[in-house]
Amino acid sequence: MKRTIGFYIEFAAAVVGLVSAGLYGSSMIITKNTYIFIIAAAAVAIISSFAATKTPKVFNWGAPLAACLMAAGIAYSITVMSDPIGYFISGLYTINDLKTWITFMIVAGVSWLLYMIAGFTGMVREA
Amino acid sequence: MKKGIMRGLAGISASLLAICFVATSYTATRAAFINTRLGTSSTKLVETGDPSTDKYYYKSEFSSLTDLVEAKKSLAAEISSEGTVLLKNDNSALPLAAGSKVTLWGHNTIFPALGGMIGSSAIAAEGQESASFMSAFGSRGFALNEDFINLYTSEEAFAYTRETFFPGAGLLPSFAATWEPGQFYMTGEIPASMYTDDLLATADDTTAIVVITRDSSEAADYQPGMVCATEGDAFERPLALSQYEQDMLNLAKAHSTGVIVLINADNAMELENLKNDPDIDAILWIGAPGLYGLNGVADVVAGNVNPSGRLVDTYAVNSTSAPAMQNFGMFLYTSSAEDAVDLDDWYIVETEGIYNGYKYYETRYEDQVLGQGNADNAAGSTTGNAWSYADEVSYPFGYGMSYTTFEQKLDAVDVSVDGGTATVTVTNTGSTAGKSVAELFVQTPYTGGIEKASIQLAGFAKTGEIAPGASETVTIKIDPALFASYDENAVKADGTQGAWVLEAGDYYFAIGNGAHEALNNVLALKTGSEDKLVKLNDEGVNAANAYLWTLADTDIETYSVNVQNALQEMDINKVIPGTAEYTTRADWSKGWKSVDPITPTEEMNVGLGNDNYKLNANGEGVTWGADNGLTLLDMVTVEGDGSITVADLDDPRWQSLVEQVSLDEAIQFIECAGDDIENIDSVLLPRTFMNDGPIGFAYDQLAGYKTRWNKSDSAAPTYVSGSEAESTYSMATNPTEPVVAATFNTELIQREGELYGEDALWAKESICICPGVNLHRTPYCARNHEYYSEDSVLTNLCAMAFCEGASSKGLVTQAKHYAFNHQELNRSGLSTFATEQACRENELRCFQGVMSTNTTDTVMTAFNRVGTVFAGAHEGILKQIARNEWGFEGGFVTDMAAAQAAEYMNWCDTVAAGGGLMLASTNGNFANTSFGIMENSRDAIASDTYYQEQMQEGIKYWLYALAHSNIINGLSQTTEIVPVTPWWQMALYVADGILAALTALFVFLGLKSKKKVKE
Repeated sequence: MKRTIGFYIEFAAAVVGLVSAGLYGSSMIITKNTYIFIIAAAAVAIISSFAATKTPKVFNWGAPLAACLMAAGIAYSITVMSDPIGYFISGLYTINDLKTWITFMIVAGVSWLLYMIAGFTGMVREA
Repeated sequence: MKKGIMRGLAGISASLLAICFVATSYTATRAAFINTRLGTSSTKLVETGDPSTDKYYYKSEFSSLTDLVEAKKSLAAEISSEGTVLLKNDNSALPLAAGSKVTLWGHNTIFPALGGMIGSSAIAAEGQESASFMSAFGSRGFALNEDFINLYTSEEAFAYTRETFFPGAGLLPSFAATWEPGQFYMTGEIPASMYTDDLLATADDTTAIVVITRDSSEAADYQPGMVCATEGDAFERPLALSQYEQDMLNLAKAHSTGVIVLINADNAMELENLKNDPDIDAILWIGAPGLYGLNGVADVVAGNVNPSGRLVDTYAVNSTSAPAMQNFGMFLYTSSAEDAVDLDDWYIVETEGIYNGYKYYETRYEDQVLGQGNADNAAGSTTGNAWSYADEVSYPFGYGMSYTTFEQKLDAVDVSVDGGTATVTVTNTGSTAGKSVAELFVQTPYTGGIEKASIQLAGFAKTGEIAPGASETVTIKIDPALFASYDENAVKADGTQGAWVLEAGDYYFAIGNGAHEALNNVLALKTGSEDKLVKLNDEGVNAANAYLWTLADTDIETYSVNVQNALQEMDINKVIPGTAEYTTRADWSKGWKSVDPITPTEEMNVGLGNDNYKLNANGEGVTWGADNGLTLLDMVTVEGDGSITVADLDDPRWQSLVEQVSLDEAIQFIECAGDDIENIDSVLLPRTFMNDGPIGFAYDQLAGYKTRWNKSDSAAPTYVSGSEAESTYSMATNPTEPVVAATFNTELIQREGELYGEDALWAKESICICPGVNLHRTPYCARNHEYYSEDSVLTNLCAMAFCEGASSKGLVTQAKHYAFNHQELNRSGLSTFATEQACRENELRCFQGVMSTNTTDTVMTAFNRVGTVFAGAHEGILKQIARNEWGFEGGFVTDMAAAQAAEYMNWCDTVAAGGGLMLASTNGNFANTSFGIMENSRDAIASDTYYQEQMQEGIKYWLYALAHSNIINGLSQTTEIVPVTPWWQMALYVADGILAALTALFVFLGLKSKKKVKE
């Protein structure tokens, strides 16, 4: 079984995703759901990238699944930040209050994008 | 390749499905908020009876939104003109003749401070045109120097704009906890080098109007040690003039026919240099006058209105010279660690005691005159020499001039322990018609025991327009409750400790143009001599304007019904003896120390532990979900003349009504009281909209009157469809509270409240989070613009007038922040310590008016702690003082619990202590605390009878408050609330379905193509 570039992309996505989870801790308001989904995405990605070398037809689907989990994690982080975002729009908060969360969103967004790219390429070439 | 595409597409559609699914479930919890933004609704009021019945009980006095907006503009100008304070007018420099050539000096003429930078009094035009210095002065017929305007609007000048966040903002507000107070402030002025000789020549034959600006903001404070953020500019203190400002003034003096300075700041600045400068002809304090208020300021300059405002704060020579400044800012518990930022780490000790603002300066002055109390000690002296009043105060509290001269005569004082009146005749002895203010002050007997201010405001009355030579007699109500002293050691007949005391002895009532003149009148009568008196400004001394009333016996009962000590743990010396050195009249050399770092005791850690109440199984339970057949409207009676009465709170039907509420509804109602108050279908309470703040309904993400209406409301007489030109206008346009208070005109303030009520009717709002009634403890709190004054009686009377006006239109007001929110720096969880006497005579007296008369229907609690217990969970202020002593019948709600997600601001402690509702749009943030959301504790709550009783009490108070509101408009006995699915929610369901189908399709095709490959 030959690894494709998707193998490395997915691995990178998992690493970036875990970095985003680390950054998430400094956000103004956090939710456990975001941690759970980001870590689950990374776990699925890492396990599937290695398992795909044996069963590529099944585990190449790990990337789309991880993308889905990552998206859920990002979405949950937005839900708890909706009030601060609203306060920012209405002038109660400044951009400084949101910058740690915005940093997280950028890094998590990169991870999500990589997962989706890996979904197209697959991780291991199927026979 | 194809299978890879299908797999990739499946990944995208699955991701979008995940997002859409989370959005669907989340938006269901925020449906009300979204509905208000989209003009939709999740419920519909269906009239099952006679549709022709008039269901609009609170009616507008305006026939169109245009008329309302015009009335608001007009009132704002009127308030600003009456709130403008003339401090200096040498050689009758003001008013300026019509057609005068004027140069507006100051880059801040382009970006004036009109309201707050951010927060609940943030100001910004939304579609409407605001009054600028140029438009206001131009429209009053002044010929403006366009060359200066061109300079200030040039790109070169823009580089100096106060722009910490956006143009016109000089502070750096932060909602987050910080270990470092703000270090920078930028004044926004340009260097003198930018004024070329040619430009200056254009100003030579004009009158200079120089604008000096300082910002206001929530979540920010000034700090004495701040440095100017503009390179090249500098100031000694941020409330003193900066070098660039002084340079500009020097140029203005050299290139003008006269100099008039406008102080565009709500924080008391240092004006001594301006006052003493013979080349500065006039000074006008204009505060932050709101979106339209500069029109009123221009009216004063033009002489269309004769100034009659009075200062709401003391203007000290050195803004840091009051003892309160010794303990303002950041103080850390020794248990705090800089690597573990928490909301429990900070404290403040208000060591000044009762000596806040003028009560300090004027009391020490009397003692200086009388040679007692070590008053001339150098401690606290600005000069470093013996303390002298003349060196300390530029303009005293209550001071203000006019374009004419008035003579005031204290005709009579009729007073007893139960109250009385004072009558004052005001005669216009000048040549210009104008209004005046009769200010009545009182000195209570100081016997060396209870701390007493030498003078305090007892009441005031504003005259009408008095023609030259004419007189008007006004009557001022005397209420001894407003000047009684609180004696923590008094033991009353019922054996309880703590009482409001009127001590036996001499009481001097006096009128005067401000506290200082009134005190001089008292001293002249008291000592029979004027020899040692210090006369500031144009004040006179007249012993005949003081009246002596002698009380034979000390009274500790009349104003002490149900009163007893409730804040003893706020006195840090009673928790840790010897921690603080309080300011005392006995020795003015004391009270000048900052409190050393405090190590919390075990007792203090109980409060700091944020876990004051634990749910426990007790009692027989309470009734929820009863079928008693009542609705909120049953508690309201509309008389034939249209007047509305609400059943008294002791009517047993209120309890029956509350018992109709289900436990689930109760949890939702309590936990999600942000943006709007949750509907309770079981009592026919529709969703109720609530919004900031003190300068009008804040624009809250989307501006405008139309925001909360939806098409099903179109039958309402004040319905705004969106087609009206004003429908998106910001409603937060009014002058800030110091300007309002400076009018000393309760009729005008009541009218302001009425127009807030009108805004509510036209914007479908029912609750406005205002007025702000905290005390101006120091000039350095950048949120002073949301509070009236440094004086508790002025605050008390202004707030009552406002709330009376608002409630007459069915607007529920929400006085804030109860209590002791005196600084913005790390206010969340800040432990606040002070003596009980100081708390009650100053800060709590501000709230006492609106709460004891129930002219405010609801109250917002503060972010800070009272002692070590969260203000919203402190039984002393919530139950003992507010309910037992004052008889407050309204609802409590916390400050922005949603934004904090903090342990200390938890629903468990808050409800148990009588704190009412939690200001949170969703319960989501509570999930991040150790308490979790209320729903997850439903079983524990259901087994705790005491807790449920507190829930029902809180809900009852709120229903009682809302029964007084315009929320009953549109309801009848035959109205039903019917649930509907708004279009956006339906769209999300459809999107979920489509994305789920697409994902399944892509997965299927991906797997199928694999099969083909295999074959």
